[in-house]
Amino acid sequence: MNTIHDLGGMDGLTIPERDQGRILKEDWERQIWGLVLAVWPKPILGYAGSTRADIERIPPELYLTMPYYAKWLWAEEVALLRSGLVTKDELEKPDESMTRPDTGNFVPASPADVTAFLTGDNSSEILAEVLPSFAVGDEATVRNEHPAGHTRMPRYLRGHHGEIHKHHGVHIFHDDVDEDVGQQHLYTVLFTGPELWGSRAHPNDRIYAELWDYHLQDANA
Amino acid sequence: MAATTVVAGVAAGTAGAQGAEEYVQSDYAVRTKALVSVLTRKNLVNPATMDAVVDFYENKVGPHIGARVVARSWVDPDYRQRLLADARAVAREDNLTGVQGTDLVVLENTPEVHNLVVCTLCSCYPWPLLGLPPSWYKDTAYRAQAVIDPRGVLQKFGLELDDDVEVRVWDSTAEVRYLVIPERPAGTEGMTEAQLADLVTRDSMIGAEKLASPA
Repeated sequence: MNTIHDLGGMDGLTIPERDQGRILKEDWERQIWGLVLAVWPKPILGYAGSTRADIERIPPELYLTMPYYAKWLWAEEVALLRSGLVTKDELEKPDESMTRPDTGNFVPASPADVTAFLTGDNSSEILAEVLPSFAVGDEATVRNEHPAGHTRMPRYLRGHHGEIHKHHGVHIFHDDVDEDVGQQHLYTVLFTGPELWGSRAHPNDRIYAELWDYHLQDANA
Repeated sequence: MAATTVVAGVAAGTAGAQGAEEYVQSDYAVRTKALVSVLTRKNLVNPATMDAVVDFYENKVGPHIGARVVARSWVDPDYRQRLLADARAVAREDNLTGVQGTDLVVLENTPEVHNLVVCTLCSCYPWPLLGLPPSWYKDTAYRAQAVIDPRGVLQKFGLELDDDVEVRVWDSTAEVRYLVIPERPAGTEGMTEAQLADLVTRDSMIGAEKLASPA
């Protein structure tokens, strides 16, 4: 969706100082971070959340001013409410009566589970027998599509020409699209600065981004 | 003063403007406490697991891991070549894999080429090698400007690049994660790998700064 999270190329914001201190500063930040990752290794039955997609739906005026970890808190609340695993009443009055969701014999991830998960092999590559649409060195054009749902195709690349720099094989495809697009090869695509930004770009700037088959079309088509 | 706890996206499934009207931004601590309390009582999360996560990211992983990789790449040309050719294979051999970082690509800065890493869409970052990203990396301005004006961003960070230096900006739009090998500073010829690792800063491994020679 075309909203505020898709920031590449936007002017008017002030570059911050490079902070060097502690990253999780507040207790609630440590708690929300611990919570989000503690539930990653073992999805709760019925949990219908996608952190990136839920964060992207935060209204722009809030997105620009919310602390970073508040966005994760927002996404977690939204996903749990949507899933029916918690109710608004429970969150507003956590010390009063609660309904217990039907999650069977669910046992939440243990410290050992999470440590194994955090240090595990989390490659997003999928072994699949699908032919790639592009090879390294090919020219490709990013499709001029503006999906209403989640996409990993930034706006600033759409319609522009690039060159396939690296082929990563078939990877999990995250976009929320209606059609069944099947298994998707992933590429790093190289764009020149002037291709993306015209005369404002420095001629020696290069921008690289990962895009899937779905995002690309033959440059000569 | 009693805080009013209002929850994001109140109507389940409509996490949009409707929830925003009631959103109270100062309530993060109250809301987090409520969420953790409810999930714990429902046995949907184990508090000890939450503590293990925080301990992992505050005390186990961090830039010291990436710094060791960089230092070794400076003294071991074969290792450096293997990293540049297939960092994921090296990460697997050396048990450096993990969430947000297994599909690793390593880049090298040289006098001719300067690499800078960003995530314009969110905050993708190589957690197993650098830990959690600093605030500036997640900042909207950095994400907005790094792709359109990387030299201006670097200048604000204190790094002036000559016009003939090629700047390569890597926008992490998939699960591929990037680590930059900064240039080895002059005057470090006799140093051990461990001494070299101590010189490597987090921000140099994102491409946000060059390393200074040791004083």
